[in-house]
Amino acid sequence: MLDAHIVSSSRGVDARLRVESGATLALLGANGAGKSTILECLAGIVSADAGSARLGSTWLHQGRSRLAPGRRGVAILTQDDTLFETMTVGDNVAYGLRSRRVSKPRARARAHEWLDVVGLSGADEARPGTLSGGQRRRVAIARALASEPTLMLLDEPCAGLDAEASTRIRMLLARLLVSVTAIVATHDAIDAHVLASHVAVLEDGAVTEHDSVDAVMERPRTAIAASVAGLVLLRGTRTATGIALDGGGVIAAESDVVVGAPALVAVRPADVRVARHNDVPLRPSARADGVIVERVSAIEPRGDRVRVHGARLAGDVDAATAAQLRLDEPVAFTVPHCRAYGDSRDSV
Amino acid sequence: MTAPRWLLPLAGGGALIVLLPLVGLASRVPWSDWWPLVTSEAALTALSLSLRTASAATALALVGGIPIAFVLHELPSRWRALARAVVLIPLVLPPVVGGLALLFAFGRQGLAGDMFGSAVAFTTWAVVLAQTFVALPFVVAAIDAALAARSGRLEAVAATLGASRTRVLTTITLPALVPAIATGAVLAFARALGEFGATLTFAGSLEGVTRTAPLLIYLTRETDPGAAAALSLVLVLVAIIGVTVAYRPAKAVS
Amino acid sequence: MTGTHPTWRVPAASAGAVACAAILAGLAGADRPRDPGTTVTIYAASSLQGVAEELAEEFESSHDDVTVVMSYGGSSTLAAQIIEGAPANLFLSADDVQAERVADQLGGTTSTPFASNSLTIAVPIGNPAGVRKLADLTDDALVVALCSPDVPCGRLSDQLASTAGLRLAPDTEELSVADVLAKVSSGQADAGLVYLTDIARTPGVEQVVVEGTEAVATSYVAVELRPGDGTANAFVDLLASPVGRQVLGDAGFSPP
Repeated sequence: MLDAHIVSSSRGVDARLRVESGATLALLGANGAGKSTILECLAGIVSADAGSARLGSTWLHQGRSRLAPGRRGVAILTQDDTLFETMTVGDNVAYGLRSRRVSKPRARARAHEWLDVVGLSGADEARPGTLSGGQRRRVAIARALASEPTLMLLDEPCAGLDAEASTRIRMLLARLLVSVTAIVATHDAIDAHVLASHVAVLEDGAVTEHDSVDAVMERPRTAIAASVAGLVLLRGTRTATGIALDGGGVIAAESDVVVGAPALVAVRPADVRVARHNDVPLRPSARADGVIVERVSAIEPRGDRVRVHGARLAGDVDAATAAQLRLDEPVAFTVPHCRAYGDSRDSV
Repeated sequence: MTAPRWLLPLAGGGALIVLLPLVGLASRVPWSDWWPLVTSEAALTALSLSLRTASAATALALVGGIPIAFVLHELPSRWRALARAVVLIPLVLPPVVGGLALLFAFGRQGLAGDMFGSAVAFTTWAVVLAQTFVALPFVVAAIDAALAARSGRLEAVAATLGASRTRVLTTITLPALVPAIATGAVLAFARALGEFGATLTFAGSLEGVTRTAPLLIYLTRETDPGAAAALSLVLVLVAIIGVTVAYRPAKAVS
Repeated sequence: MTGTHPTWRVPAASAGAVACAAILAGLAGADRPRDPGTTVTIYAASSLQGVAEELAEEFESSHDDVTVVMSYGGSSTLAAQIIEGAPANLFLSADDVQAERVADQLGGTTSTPFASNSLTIAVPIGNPAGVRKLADLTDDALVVALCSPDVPCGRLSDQLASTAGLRLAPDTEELSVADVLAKVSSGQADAGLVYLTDIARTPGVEQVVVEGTEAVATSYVAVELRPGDGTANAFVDLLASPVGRQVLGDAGFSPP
């Protein structure tokens, strides 16, 4: 089990993370949120200023004292390509074992097996320079796992590849990470869904949500988690009839939240109906009819549908409807009946 | 790259300053006697001495210069600029000043005179010492530049895989530095081969012991200008071949 | 990249203009003509430097309208420059071979020997190795610096050794007498053969007086380069005058 509190004031990071043994945590955040810093602090590549991290019974760092990177049992798959160009692929994969004084024949045999596992059978003698981006990523994965780490860190493991290679790497990792304690830093919800059991959402260096994947993806409490999950997050207050949204409008919703308490609603844009405001008679919005009028702030083509964004809401329409809409024009979003949930963070 | 055209005349002028003296040198070589001149006993003795001392100096410059470059790289940045300037001083020092400095350090009356003075004075080792003094900065500069261009990411990843510092150095950093080391070595060798001022001031001039090719050229320039030109041409050829084969300007690769 | 073009084109052009102006100014300066009527240009061997300066002052004080311009260097270097057309009136050579070379090449010159110089043993102050005689310079245990036989002082050293029936054992054969002096004065060498006139003007060395060295001497020759050049001729007369002899003698030169 990993229990970490990473503080790096120079990089504006102050984050707490927990990963159960054998589980995979998705560290979800935008670029610059501090994902790489957290992974590199755990790997010992950069130094944390304060805080502490314990992996099982081993202290990775405590305040300013830290364990040498090579003695942590932490392997990292960095976002940048770090294959050793001067060695063969086999020697790359055997590097960790050779560094721990495993004999050359044994290390090579293990490397050979790992290359089989990642789908690069027989590539032992190849030079990294002759491989494709996806193949190089596989070698890096094999190299990290061959060192038999207690904790595996993966920084955007599926990013920067073409769609097919990216999917194949994700499938490979889904298989390999089953019983490995791991953290996957990503900005892509699909990585979290496929690879992780838990999600920590990172915003400006701090963890703002830390829960199971299902909880975060279905009941997000932060805009970024909602956006990664493809949802629109609405904030409001529970009333007798529904949820009175911050900024006006009332929508119908079931909820366990007590009347008068803050409540959240996550809405799928595909479920929101959008109509020109003139076509919907405007009524005083005390009733929970789910109609919210907002000005159009952006019109975003998404394949055969077009997503219309307002200040808080978004909804999908067909191209013909979209053609009638103009920026800054008021439109009526109709939110379907849905389920609201509380804003407390103790539901882990 | 597409350079603006007005660069051309400037480039031509610059090239003329370099090329014309070489052409002038070649014009003074008595071509019919060239081979006998450069294979005369005095010439062969001096050339062989030059090649041996320059090789030894290059080896010493590598052994000393590579570690210096690494230590420079590890220094806090405010000290690094000063330390780099001190180490690179022989690059900008007039060679005769270098010779004087060597004299005051390793000469018989010098600071380390009791240890080295009598053993080194007027021996081939004095030549090697003088050449190492002027050649070492080329090695340091080449490797310093190459290290500065490295991100250190590969080394960091190797360390997470359990490699000791020594193993990281020998398996990751040094293999990646091979081109820079080769460049530094070639420049150091060429500089050592051409060393004149410091050798003359510090080591003396005796055939077969301390009289390297440049000293022989200087000595014979008036009594036998043709021989001096012929021998000069050999040094020019060695320099051109060496630099063509091994000198690659530093590229911005990790 | 094109966006930044105009911002550096202007400074580059003006820098080029400044550089061109500087070069032209330099050329103009180098070409400034001298008034030939009042100037006598003397090329003199380096070993004559102190003496020639003193005599030039003397000459200027007795010839109101004359300015003496001196240029010093190795005799062979100066000879080469004169043959290539350097604007000299008078050549004071430390080596009769170079004087002859100039006379042969130019023709119409007048050569007058005006002094001679011989070798002596120079040792560092205090004579740490205890050198007493010429034969000590054959000792392998001593560090001995000589001129290379390719340069005049080396030829003279060879003559001296063979006259004395000795085979000297140099540890270094330097390219000029100045290099020999540097090796001795810095204590790198225990002894060296240098010109008698070098001893007085070089700090850090002293002379070991040895009988018979003056028998092997080099001749200093004044070469008047232009026929009918009265000023140069007057300077040569000064060299041979009692005043000239006195100044040369004080510096360690012997009569021709």
